[in-house]
Amino acid sequence: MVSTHAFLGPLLLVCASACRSTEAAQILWPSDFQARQVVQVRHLKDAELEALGSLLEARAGLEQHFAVHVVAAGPTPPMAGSYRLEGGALSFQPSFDWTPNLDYVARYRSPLAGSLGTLESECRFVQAEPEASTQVLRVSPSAALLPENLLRMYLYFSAPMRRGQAYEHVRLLDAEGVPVHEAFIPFQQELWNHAGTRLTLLLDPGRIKRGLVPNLEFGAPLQADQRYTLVVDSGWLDERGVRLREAFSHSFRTTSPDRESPDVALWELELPPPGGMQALNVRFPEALDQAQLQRMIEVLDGAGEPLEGRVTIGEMEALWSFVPVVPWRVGAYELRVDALLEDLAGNSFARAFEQEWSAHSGPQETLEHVTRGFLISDP
Amino acid sequence: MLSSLLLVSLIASSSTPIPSDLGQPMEWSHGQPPLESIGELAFGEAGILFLADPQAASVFAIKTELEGSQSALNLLIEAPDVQIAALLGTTAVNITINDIAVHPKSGDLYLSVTRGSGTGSQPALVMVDGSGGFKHLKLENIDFMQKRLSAAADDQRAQSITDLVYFDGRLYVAGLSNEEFASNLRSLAFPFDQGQDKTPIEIYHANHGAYETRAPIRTFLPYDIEGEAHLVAAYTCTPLVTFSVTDLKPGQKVRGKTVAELGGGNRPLDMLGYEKNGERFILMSNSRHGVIKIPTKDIGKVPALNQPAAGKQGLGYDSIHELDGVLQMTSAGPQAVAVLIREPDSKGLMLGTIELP
Repeated sequence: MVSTHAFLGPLLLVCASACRSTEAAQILWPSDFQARQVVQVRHLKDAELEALGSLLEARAGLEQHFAVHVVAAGPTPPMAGSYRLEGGALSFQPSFDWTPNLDYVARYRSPLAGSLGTLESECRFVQAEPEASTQVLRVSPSAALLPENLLRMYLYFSAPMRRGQAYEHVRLLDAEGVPVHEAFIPFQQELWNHAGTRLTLLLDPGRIKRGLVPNLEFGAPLQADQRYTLVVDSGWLDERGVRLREAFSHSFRTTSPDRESPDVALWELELPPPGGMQALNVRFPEALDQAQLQRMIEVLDGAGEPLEGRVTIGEMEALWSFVPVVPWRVGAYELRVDALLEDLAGNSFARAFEQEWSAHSGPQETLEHVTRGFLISDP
Repeated sequence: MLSSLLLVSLIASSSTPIPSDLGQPMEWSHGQPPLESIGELAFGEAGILFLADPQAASVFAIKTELEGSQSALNLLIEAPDVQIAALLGTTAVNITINDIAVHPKSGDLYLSVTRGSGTGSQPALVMVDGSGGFKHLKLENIDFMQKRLSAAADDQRAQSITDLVYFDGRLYVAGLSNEEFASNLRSLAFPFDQGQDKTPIEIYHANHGAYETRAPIRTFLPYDIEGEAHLVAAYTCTPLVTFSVTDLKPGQKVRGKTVAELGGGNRPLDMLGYEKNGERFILMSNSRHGVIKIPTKDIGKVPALNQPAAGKQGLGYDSIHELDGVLQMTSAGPQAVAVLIREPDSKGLMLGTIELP
């Protein structure tokens, strides 16, 4: 019996070999589990190397002689990977990463006639449980008053989260603390940003829309003039498999439904003076979708060219600020807004979330942009 | 959905050709497809397998072996997640089975699997071999094509792909954005063309006459309705809607006909079409009520639903309670269906093939 202990940062490699044959061969585990490092059988005889070489060339039967398994209660298939013969050793490189804190066993059986024994070695890449540090940073929309036909919420996390468990850990509670039945629509493929730090939650649109069966049977998920609390429990695991640092909650009240498209004519513009790079502030009479606001409004100069600059969203998603990279000049500018920009209830400039059905009109023509001109002038 | 293949021959003579997209057809590349993630699967003709890669906002086509072991024919594997996890060097909690599909020629069952989660996750294509074991298919030295879907120009926007259907020379891709709520159906010529992906088709249907919606499609399948090619789509809300395939052109706005209302609290997962004893049916799996069997004799005749009312309406259906807990479902030939089930009692997974009800 041989034991090896190797310290590697938070990682401890623990291996044990049991040699049940008189052969000289030895199994060597990688010292680093991060990069799909290889497991090797070393000290092979020339005749063994030759026989293994033939099997490798024929691409058949090599896993009968050398294979790595996850240690499990019942029989499991060998790990997927590839073999190589070099420097007098047979190497197995797994196709996927090693999992920390899991027991693996490697078994080698010589292909030579008369070699009956099996060389066996177990290994575990021990990693200390990392500290719980990930937390919910905020929720959007952030306003204290939201329309009862709210369509979408975004949850922001401080670090990437594990996918596939969102709907077990997010709940919407009513004023009595009772969970709202299936408030959010569960999608098998959860709606994350690429980094896994922002989750989109959709309130069930079938229940928001009037006349649909789910609406008629269960009613809308939110009712007007009520208090609700979005609750995230700390059992939700981040990408490292560690719980959140703490639970999170966010309360809001509901108002009557919003069924109107936004209107640029109602936006208040706070114009910067020429010659500087002060912010252009645009205030909306209602909050708009925070994610869409980041990318759906542009400022065009007099020649119709979009300006470069930095966008910030404030005042609970009712303020859009733009700081250009070059100073404002005296003259005409234009705000160009993507007609698909939505308010909190999914009403866009192109169409309200619910549109009256007309058997004769057909779907309306697509509106691509709405614009609002403004003039920068000397004070 | 594999049912598309059965229907190709049924419909070919009556379908109206769709104008091909602009742009030269893509050539096959050889090597390792740069797959970032793996989701929905669908087989096309001649063993071509389509894979959705939502992370890369792409669909891939790969060539697969035509010879096989018909492994899907008599399948019964307990705890397939434990076996697949071991194959991928980990435990069942660290894998997700995203979809299953049966190769129409070789009869082998393929599984789309994600190992790990989030940015550190790795996609895996796994196959059931002739002995009922699992085999990891290394995507190296293969012929492939990648078609990027125009979307996601920044870190925040992501496009999930809810279903793929190949039919009559085109791949239909239904998607859902994490920032916009809309129907998002793409119709891609196959072989893919080199041009930029066209604007998605906007599809509408009436919500009982009062309002119209552009809700995202959850699952869909090609279906012959009175000699004309249609898509039958099921929504996250509960209606079943039909669209004429000739109307589904890039950039078009299309209105569908609501033919059934399946009752609330039920979310459709997968659909397939089949024939039994001379009658045609659609089999649909649901989040809540297991699997339902919808006779489609009247799918062309049923009047469009236009009256608000609670409960079931339009085409009727039977519930198949023996199939409660179906997570994934796909056609396995004209008489069988392959299913991944979470057993209601033991909560364990089971992968099996059963006779169509």
